[in-house]
Amino acid sequence: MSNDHGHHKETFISKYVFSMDHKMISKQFLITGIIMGVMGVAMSILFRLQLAWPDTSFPILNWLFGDQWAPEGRLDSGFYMGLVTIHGTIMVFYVLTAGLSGTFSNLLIPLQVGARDMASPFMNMLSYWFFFLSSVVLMSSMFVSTGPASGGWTIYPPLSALAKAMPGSGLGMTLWLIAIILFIVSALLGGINYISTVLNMRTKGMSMNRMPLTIWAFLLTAILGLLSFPVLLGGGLLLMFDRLAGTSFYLSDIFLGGGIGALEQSGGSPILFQHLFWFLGHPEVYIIIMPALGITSEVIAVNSRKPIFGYTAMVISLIGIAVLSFLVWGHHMFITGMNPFLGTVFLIMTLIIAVPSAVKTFNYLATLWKGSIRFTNGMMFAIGLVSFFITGGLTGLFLGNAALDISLHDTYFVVAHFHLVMGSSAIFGMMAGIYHWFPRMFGRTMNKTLGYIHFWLTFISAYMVFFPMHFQGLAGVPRRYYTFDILPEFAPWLDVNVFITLAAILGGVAQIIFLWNFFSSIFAGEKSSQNPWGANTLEWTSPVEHIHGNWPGEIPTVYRWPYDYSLPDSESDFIPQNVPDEGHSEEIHVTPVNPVSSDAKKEPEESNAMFFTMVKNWFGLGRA
Amino acid sequence: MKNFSSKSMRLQFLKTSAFAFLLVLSSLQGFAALKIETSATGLPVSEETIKSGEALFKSKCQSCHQLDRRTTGPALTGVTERREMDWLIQWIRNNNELRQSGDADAIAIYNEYNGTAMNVFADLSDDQIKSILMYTENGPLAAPVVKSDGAEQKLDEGLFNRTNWVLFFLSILVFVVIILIIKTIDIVGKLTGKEVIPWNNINAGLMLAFLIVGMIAGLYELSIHSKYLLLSNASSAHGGELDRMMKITFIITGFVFFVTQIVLFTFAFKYRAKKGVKALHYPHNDRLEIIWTAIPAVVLTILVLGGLKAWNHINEKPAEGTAQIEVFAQQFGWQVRYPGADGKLGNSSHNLISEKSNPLGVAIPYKAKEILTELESDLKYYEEAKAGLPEKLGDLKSTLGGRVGKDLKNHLKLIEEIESGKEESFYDLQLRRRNTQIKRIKLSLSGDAPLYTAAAKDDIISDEIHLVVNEPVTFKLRSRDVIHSALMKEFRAQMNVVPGIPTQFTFTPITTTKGRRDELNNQEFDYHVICNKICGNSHFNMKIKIVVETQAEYDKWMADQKATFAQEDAEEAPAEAPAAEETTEPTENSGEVAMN
Repeated sequence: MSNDHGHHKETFISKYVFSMDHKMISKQFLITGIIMGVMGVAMSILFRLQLAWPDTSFPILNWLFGDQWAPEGRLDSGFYMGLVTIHGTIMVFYVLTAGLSGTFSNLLIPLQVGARDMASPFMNMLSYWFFFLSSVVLMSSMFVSTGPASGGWTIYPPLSALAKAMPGSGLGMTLWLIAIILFIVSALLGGINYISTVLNMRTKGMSMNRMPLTIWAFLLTAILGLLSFPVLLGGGLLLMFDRLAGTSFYLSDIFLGGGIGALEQSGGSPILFQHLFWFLGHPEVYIIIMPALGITSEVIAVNSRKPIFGYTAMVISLIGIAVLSFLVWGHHMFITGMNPFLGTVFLIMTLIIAVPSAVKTFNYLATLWKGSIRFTNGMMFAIGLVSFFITGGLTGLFLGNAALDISLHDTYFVVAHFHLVMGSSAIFGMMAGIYHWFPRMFGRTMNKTLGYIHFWLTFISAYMVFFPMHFQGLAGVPRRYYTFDILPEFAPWLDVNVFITLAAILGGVAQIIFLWNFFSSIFAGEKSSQNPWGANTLEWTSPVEHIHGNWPGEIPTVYRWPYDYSLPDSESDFIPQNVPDEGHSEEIHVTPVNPVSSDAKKEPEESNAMFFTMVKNWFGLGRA
Repeated sequence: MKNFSSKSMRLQFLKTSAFAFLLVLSSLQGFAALKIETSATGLPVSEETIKSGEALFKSKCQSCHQLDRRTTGPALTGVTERREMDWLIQWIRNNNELRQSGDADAIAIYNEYNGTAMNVFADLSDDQIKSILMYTENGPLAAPVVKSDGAEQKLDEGLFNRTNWVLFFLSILVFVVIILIIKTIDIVGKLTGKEVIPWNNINAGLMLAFLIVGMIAGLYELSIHSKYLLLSNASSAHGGELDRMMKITFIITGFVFFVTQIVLFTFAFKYRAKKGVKALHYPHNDRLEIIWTAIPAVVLTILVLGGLKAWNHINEKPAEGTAQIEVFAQQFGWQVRYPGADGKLGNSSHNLISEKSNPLGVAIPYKAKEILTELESDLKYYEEAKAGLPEKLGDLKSTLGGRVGKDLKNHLKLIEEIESGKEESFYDLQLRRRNTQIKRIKLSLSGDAPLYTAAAKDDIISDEIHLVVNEPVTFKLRSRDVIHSALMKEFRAQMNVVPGIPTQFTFTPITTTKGRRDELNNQEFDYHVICNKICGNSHFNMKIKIVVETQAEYDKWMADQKATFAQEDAEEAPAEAPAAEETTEPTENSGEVAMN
């Protein structure tokens, strides 16, 4: 069948701006994510200057933020918190949720399951533009006169609910909430699309147990997002009501200084917000890390030239993590004064989640075993991810233990833990994905030598930044402090803070190498071959040229699972999924395609065409 | 300030002449204590005054101010030269009132610090305020420790000096050269068709090198920092159990950490691609997978059981008769309330809080009536302010001319706030709040007024927590405004302080402050509660001292404490009013509701 979407005229706007093509949308997500990431990382370096040299005047801070926020070249304490808050928000939501999941779910889901596009290209486009709008709103909050939201990215009320409790709780907080609400709309539009595409639009032969692990990860991520983001939406709206309409969902018995006096609100509970927040907040951690783990599974298998070890166990542990992630949110709240019995429940659940995580790690190690490892840039970042995942994951056993959390809660130990296990890990997963699928996105490869330098500098500096923080945390140094003059026992850590900041600057500089490599390779990188890494998945069978519908002719049929690497009887060390079986190489553990389901999806592209017609009729967008 | 210049000249003269004298003095005594000769406060300069000022500064001001640099509030050195003494006293005692009275300087400061209001210190006497100010003039009293490493202290100030700029550009140059070399290598590789640098082997080797160097660096770091870690010698009874739990977890995770990282990087090195070696097609091994699912499961069960035991032990209901103290948190400080002789804490309500006269909102009838009068005058103020808005707007507009820059911007902002109705709606809101508060207080006073019990009368409020060693104590935690968290790291104790929801934490201190000082070999050490939940701009500076002492020392300290509300309440017994008409609102009674 010929592709019936390729022949209409594309304008600049329909191709690059309001594109409905999933490949273009993934690039939009990626580039927006990178821009947000640059700002997030830059902010972290700026506030680390304050931690390392609290008494030093930095003219650059004054130049950037003016006399209001950096008088005498030193950050204002409220603005310091604002930077910390926006850094956290950007990295968690804008880079590691939208930037990671948005980019790779969009790029890979249709290409790897063999679909012409997403189930709903129009919703897909909306998803990006809501995300874009949300980014603009969030960044605009940096410019309001009371400063950006500054109560930490977890925005606990009453601090965030009362405009007079701190300057950042004024207009900045309202903008933060609007940004997050827009963001949630974007995440939901995307998530519905990913799920329906994976479930309904797989090509012939692509049964669920022949899907690459990337697709499993994206599917479960989307399900997590779909179930948990609405809860934050609800929580955020209630907070908005408390702020703007005088309700008291989260407020009770409050007397505010500064001439405000006793508030009328009574009967609300600030802890309620924490429950609502962490009901998203914890699955959010897995929304961030699961796509990264999926990418790693694929990259490690391809570059070890080995099938991923224990495919079924990998899928089951992903599902296990997904289910359990909804049952552990209370471990963020052990010391809020909630009933100790609840503490015991969350303690048990939290430590159980370590089992599927451990299985994944061991399976990665087993995949490397007796492999033939090619250290491509993607592979190096994937190995880096596994290392961070181990280091950061193990400290979770301290924090998930309610009793130990009493002394570790909100110390630098927590900062070290999550920056390793979901921050650095997920960033490395994203980097692995970018280096690995860059040829598929842009038809060129990135410079690998620069990639190696980027990897080593980033890897070493990330450990140098976050590893010492464990020690700070074990010494009881609290996070979110502007200076550490409060107790003399914190004085020895000033040197460590200097060390960490220098390492952070090194890490920041390393990202300049990446940016240079990324943007210059888009235009001047070495032209890539059709399947540069010798991978089995379907995306490498589709032409690199920008065409609607992904494959010029028919969609390839799938005959095997995606991990037929280095089969003993085969000459080539990989057999792509669309290569028919010759009988003997049948994998025992791959069950045959369910004939019913493949019949039902004989012409998956038809539903696509139908949808385009529908969109045309609804919006008169004139698709020919 | 007509005589300002002559005064400062005189000061200058006195300073120089005093300097020589002090120099002699200090060489005789070994330390130079007084740096000033006269004080703008008008009080005679004495070590004693400055010392008490220093103590007050540390307990009241330090959370937002430092002497030498701006933090949440301005740097205070030289403040007596910048402002008039009367103004300073008024401002420190109640800056809200000063602001409400329309004082231009007060409003300007409020705006300059982005609308962060300073706390009210109505309980400070004139002399106390003057002593604080004298302290800001003189600086710390402590005998100056001879700093041999003065150069080291100044080290960071030179971050932007010429050498560093040169280094900065040199490093950019090196960076560019590296990139050029790489480019050349790439081109050579492309031309010859051979890989010039065997990247695969190099990276494999680097992986191994990273493992070894990283492990050594990690262990080195542990060796230099382990002395600061809170892993043993906990100062509380339950702390030992937690420390043990911590160590067990450390050993287990440490073992897994080393093994898995070693395996990861060794595999990466060992199984690097080599010519003619094909990878092993090895998709799964069910037995192996079951083993490495089961082992973590068993290990985690051990950790879960240990954790549950410790957690349940810590959360045991305190025994009947356990001593109770209330720890009260507000932006940005702590106060403690002792139950007094009867051993019972009185009730409290946020509606009864007055920054002037009842900072903790303790339920005392005569205080409640005082607050009612305060609130009535507030009402009057807001009504007048609301009525005076058109006039104020006219004034602002007529004084608009001739202003430039920031001044103009602020002025326009004031006009905008009135014109947009923002200011009026703020007054309306405040009026509504005060009316509700008055209604609620009156309601609580009506009937047999169950909120106001005799237990409150002998309560003692203090700025320092004193605990008896080896006696269990329950911290009843109450917040005035936002969520705080009471972290007492040496006691391995922490609990959030949540407005509207009372929380508590019970523990037994087992080491006195003196004992701990000896353990640490540091006579300056003190236990503290510090805030560990972001609560606003000065979150990082919110602490209260804990003194753990023997029963005898504690009794001696307690004997010096006066019941905060005792003498004034003597003539006024709680109103034995006729039959109850309405019951008080449940929220106002929440002070004593236990959490679980």
